[in-house]
Amino acid sequence: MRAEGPGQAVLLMLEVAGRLAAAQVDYAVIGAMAAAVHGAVRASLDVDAIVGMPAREAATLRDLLASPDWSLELRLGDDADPIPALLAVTDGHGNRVDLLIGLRGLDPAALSRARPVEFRGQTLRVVGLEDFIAMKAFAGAAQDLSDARQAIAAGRDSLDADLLRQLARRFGGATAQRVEELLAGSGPGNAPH
Amino acid sequence: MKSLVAEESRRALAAIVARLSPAERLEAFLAHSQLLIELRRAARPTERRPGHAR
Repeated sequence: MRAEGPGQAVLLMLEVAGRLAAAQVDYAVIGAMAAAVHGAVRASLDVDAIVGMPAREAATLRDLLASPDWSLELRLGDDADPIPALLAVTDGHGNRVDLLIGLRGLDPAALSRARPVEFRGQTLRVVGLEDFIAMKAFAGAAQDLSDARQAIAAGRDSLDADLLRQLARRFGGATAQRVEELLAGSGPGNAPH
Repeated sequence: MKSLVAEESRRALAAIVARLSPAERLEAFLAHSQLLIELRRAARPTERRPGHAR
């Protein structure tokens, strides 16, 4: 299943995921695509995934995904950057997949909690609900908090609040506070009723 | 009033999404993203061709 035009980053993600799975590289889809799975469907022109490998092996990942159909750009963060390395994969239509190679504060077990989602004959691994909400609370922008709020509303019956609190604390006090507010239904940035 | 309409719209959309399977949600995500591209194209001002500008 290949992307055949712009606006199809999700299909590029399918291709990238296939390459990662074949090379036994652990990954989980995050960002807007994961938001859709967790109940917050909104348009996005690129998709993101987190990859389970040390940042020092980022060049290996770039070599692994080398393709005449894609351009690959590897960016390395400095010590203060929460994302140690990022590999941007772009196809000829301008669709882009950002592969985050690490995220400061993310529980290493997040990848093993990722849920398999069947899509167009392929299995995608999508970050679990609690990890997704904790990451969105950490990101903290209005859109992130809106996604988190919708994911909580859609997954309230299955949400493990204790796990979510534990994951949020790994990102720091501000994230933990935001999660408490989201769980209480008075999340930061809520529109007045 | 505007925020109330937006909130009602958001709730209605959430109710629809809740009935979809994960794969259907990804299809909706794909369709929505492609629509965004189309809207951006439509919103782009028509380029003037040489000799036709007045």
